[in-house]
Amino acid sequence: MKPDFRRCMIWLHTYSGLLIGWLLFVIFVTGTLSYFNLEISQWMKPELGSYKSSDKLLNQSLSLLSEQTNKSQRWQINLPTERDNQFVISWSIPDVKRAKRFSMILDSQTFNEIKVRDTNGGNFFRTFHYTLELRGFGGRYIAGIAAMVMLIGIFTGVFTHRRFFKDFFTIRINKLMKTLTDTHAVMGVITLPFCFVISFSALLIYISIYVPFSAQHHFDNGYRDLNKLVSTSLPKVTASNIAVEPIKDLMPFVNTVKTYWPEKAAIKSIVYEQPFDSNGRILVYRNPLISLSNKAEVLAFHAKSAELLAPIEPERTARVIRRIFYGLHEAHFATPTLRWLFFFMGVASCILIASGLIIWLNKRLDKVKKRHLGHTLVERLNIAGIAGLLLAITSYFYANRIIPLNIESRAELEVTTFLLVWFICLIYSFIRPALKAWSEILFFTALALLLLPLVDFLIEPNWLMQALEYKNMAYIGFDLALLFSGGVCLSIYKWLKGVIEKPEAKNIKSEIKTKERALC
Amino acid sequence: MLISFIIQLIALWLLSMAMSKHFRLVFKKPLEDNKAMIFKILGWLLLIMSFFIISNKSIAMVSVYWFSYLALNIFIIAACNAWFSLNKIKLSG
Repeated sequence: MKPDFRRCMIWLHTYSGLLIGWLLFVIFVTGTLSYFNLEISQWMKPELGSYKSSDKLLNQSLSLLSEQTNKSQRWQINLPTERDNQFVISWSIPDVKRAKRFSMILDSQTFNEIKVRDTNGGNFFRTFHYTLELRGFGGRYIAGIAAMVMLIGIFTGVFTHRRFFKDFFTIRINKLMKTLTDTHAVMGVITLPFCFVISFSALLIYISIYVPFSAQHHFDNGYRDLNKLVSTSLPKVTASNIAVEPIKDLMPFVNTVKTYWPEKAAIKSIVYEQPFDSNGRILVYRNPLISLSNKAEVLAFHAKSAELLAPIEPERTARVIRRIFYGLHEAHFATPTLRWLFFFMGVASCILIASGLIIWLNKRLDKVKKRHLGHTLVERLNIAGIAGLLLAITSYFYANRIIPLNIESRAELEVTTFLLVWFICLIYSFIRPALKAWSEILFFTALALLLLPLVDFLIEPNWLMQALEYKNMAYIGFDLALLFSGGVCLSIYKWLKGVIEKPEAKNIKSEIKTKERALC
Repeated sequence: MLISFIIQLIALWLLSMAMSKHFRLVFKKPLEDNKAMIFKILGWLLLIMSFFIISNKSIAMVSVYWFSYLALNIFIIAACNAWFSLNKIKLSG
């Protein structure tokens, strides 16, 4: 029975991986980039500058908000952080159906409003990795299937690689196939817990749309009703209808908050509910660096008396577990070191998937004398899905810098550029010989990545200069990451060029030899 | 955290050296059974120690750090062993 079971596992690992491998690669690449979602957005919105946050911004924001309107029911101040440098104030005014929300992005030094370019920034990668730009067309279901297949791949992979733990620390470099197989195995080992947590949490996040039946059976509005029952939140503010002037100094609240949250830059945002009512309430939200859970930590105060109000009640264990998995998936709690480690594991997962796809093809091409349509299809999809995706991502960054700022639907145009370049790569992979298509697309990507920091500097030198002056590591780090990625692509291109030239040189040598023999 | 990372790296190196294939690659001589046992015991002890020296903080957060370090350290050891084997091939070639 044992060998049959293993054979089944190998079959399942091979074909589940092959069928959905390209999709998994796309999801993992864009998901990995999402770890630096906010940093990418900083680079893609250079108008925001590189200013640091301070508690002093709060009082000035309050006076600015009070200048807007006296009908507002909710004020919000989002402070800039090292990761997210957007300093935003927003206010909402009650309307017939829903409250109308207004916001202003401010310069944290001058308090002038900043006009930021229309772009999705790094958020595009975050939404793309679970909607695949198919929101409303089953994108999240497709991503869910991919997560399930990844889980199957993880379990079957352990049975497939017999010497899994014996070859724990080995990558043989003498032969390409051995190198690829060992890389696949080592990446599989090191990303085993990571891939499990990511895939499992992906399923758990959208459990309400993947398995809605139980909630639909027990509640009128399905999961919406269930969510309301199991989630805890602060009670709604009841207006006293006694009009008062909003408070002007938030520092007493900030000082109290510091006794509860002693870490540096603990405050993420402040919400002032019912600012013109005597029952007004101040909510202070914590930067999510302490807990794995995605539940926002908040301190609530009575606005007039500055009295600390009752906290949110703890949630049920099942809900807490879901929140921890949600938090682990998004990793908002991660410090820069941990964020880079997550990024490293994300990259390793991408290498795992890509190497798996290449191994499948090479193993079969070695065995068959004549290739069939399936081989060609896999070969070309590998090129477009792996190398093409990298070029498409690079083109998205170029679109951000090159598309004029005053064009309507600019953000959509950036996304269109990404999809268009990817499609062109697919066509290109079908019209060129495979190895040449690989090397050429990688060369274009390398060139584009290496030139992008220069293009950025030529468009507006002040952005980089300001980042250097304010030690904005998000901006500088992004430029360095572009150069590093360009270098890696260039190295792969050079190696591939060597692979292409070797057989050609061999052919020429053998031709010369036969000619010499003929002459003799 | 850094100390835990270094201890874990040493632990994994010892565990990799407890395998005759890797030991021969680095030291160019066969691995004796008693040495393999010592490497294995020391490796596991240090691996456990690397977790416990940071476990005074939130266990959940520490586990995330520890597993992330584990991934990076296994990769470092695998890369080092690959580098040794590459040098061996070059020398023998």
